[in-house]
Amino acid sequence: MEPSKKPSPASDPTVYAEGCTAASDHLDAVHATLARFWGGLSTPPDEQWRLRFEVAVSEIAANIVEHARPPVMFFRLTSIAGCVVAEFRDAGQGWNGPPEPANVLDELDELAALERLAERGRGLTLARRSVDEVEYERVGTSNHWRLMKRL
Amino acid sequence: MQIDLQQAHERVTVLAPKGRLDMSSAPAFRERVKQLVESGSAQLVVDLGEVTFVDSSGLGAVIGGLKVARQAGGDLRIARPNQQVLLVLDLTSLNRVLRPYGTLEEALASF
Repeated sequence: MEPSKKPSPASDPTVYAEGCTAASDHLDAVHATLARFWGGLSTPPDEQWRLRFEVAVSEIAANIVEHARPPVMFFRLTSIAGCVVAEFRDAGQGWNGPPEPANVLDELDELAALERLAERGRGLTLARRSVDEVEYERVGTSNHWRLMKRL
Repeated sequence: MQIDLQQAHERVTVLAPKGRLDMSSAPAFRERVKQLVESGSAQLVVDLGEVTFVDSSGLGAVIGGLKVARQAGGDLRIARPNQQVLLVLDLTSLNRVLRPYGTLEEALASF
């Protein structure tokens, strides 16, 4: 499903874009919505800032699809005073992963043995290192993710 | 994902994926590297010049390729990463094991 963009009601924050994806096209929709969102900002953040935010959003989206496996995922990007927020909602399985990701630097201390270098499990680490807040909450039968990065 | 192949010279094969290297395309990339190594091409350069975005799954596939290549007595280098790829390599500290080369020529000359 194509991501949708709605006019921002007066009571809503200054700029927002939202999307609804099916599992088969979720990543395309997320990237397309991010591009439209930046285009709607009068003064987009610089490239490095945007790249970090996009990394975090992409990792959480991928995490949802891989672990929660919902048929549909809703997401919303909001620019509020001083920060940008990404929110995800899905009705998939609850998140059962570790509360804190493995420390990548600790892992690299053991790099003498390349075969021990993990090929998975860096998604949340990347997200947490790219934005200021990553929050997850299970609400009833829904998963809620919220990412915030200060401008 | 489209992955072009080029035999740079007799020892090194260049893989040039295009688009996003993410959870959707990582399995195809991983399989392609495995096939190449099994067919005797274990000296690999991944030309990232046409890759727009890499996520943790994509990084994992490249790390997997590095392992497979080294286990076969070869190696894997990456070339021409964009700013986003450099960012995720830095955030994960994987630039310590996957040193990025600015040009394809530099990567090829490193073998």
